[in-house]
Amino acid sequence: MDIQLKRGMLEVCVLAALKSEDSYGYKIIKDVRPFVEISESTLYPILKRLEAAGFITVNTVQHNGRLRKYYHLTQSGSERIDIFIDEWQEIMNIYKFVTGEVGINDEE
Amino acid sequence: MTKNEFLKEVGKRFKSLDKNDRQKGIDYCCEIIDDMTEDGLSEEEAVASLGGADKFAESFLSELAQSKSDSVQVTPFKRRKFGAWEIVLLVLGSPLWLSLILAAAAILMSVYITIWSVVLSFAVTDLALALSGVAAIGYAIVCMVLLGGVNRMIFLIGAGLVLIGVSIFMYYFCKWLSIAAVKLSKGIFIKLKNSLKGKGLDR
Repeated sequence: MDIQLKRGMLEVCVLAALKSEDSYGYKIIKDVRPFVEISESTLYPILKRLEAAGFITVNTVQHNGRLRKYYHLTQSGSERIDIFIDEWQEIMNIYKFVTGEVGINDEE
Repeated sequence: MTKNEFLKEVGKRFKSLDKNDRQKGIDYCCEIIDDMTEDGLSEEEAVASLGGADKFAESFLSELAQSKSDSVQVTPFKRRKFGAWEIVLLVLGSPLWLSLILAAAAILMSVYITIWSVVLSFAVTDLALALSGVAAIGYAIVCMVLLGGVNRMIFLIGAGLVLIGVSIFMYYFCKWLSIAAVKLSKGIFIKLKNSLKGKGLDR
């Protein structure tokens, strides 16, 4: 997959992994991995980007005698997921054009 | 490799990060390994699954750098428009700020000229040595042919060879000096550009 496209997809996938409940790094990787390739080294920068953009917040919680960071989806993050879902139709149109399902002169 | 060994190796490779980012990166690695071991993997298996300190750090730093680059693009620099009074004040104050700018430019120019005049003087000396060596050998041949002085000829050939030899050594020194001068000039220019960028004066 194109690297820029993959980066965008990974961000939305990470947000989606936080939609139902707050989660932590390793669990996010386990939840997202069946659908898209993600490594432990790439998750941290993604989380940092999402936090900087205001899509997630971070809380440090005591867990079995150590500290664990939990990530929480914000309202902005939820809206970002909605935007991705809305944009999907546009992506499908582009896909149909590229695969030839829709020709240049065809009317929708 | 144990967790602590892995964290130590990764910490070394995170040296390009500032202290805060470096610690956060190490804490993240530590947390991931702890979560993996809690999930049933041994410490060695957890560390091995991360692909080695080199590969992990390379990917981590590369993605982090890309994130920083993306965030810079997301917030474009906004050009400020000057109001009427600001323009009037700029014009009235021009004798002061213009002369300060010219003085700063003159100082910068003199720094560059100083750096390069040192390099040039060494280069000229090197050329002079080489030419003197060649001239000495030439004169030695003239001495032999016209004056028949063998001793003088041998001395002059010897001196000429020494001068040429010294000029060859000096050539490599001049080369190194000019590379250093280019790096220094470039460094001064970049430092100045960055400091002006920080003050928003690079329009």
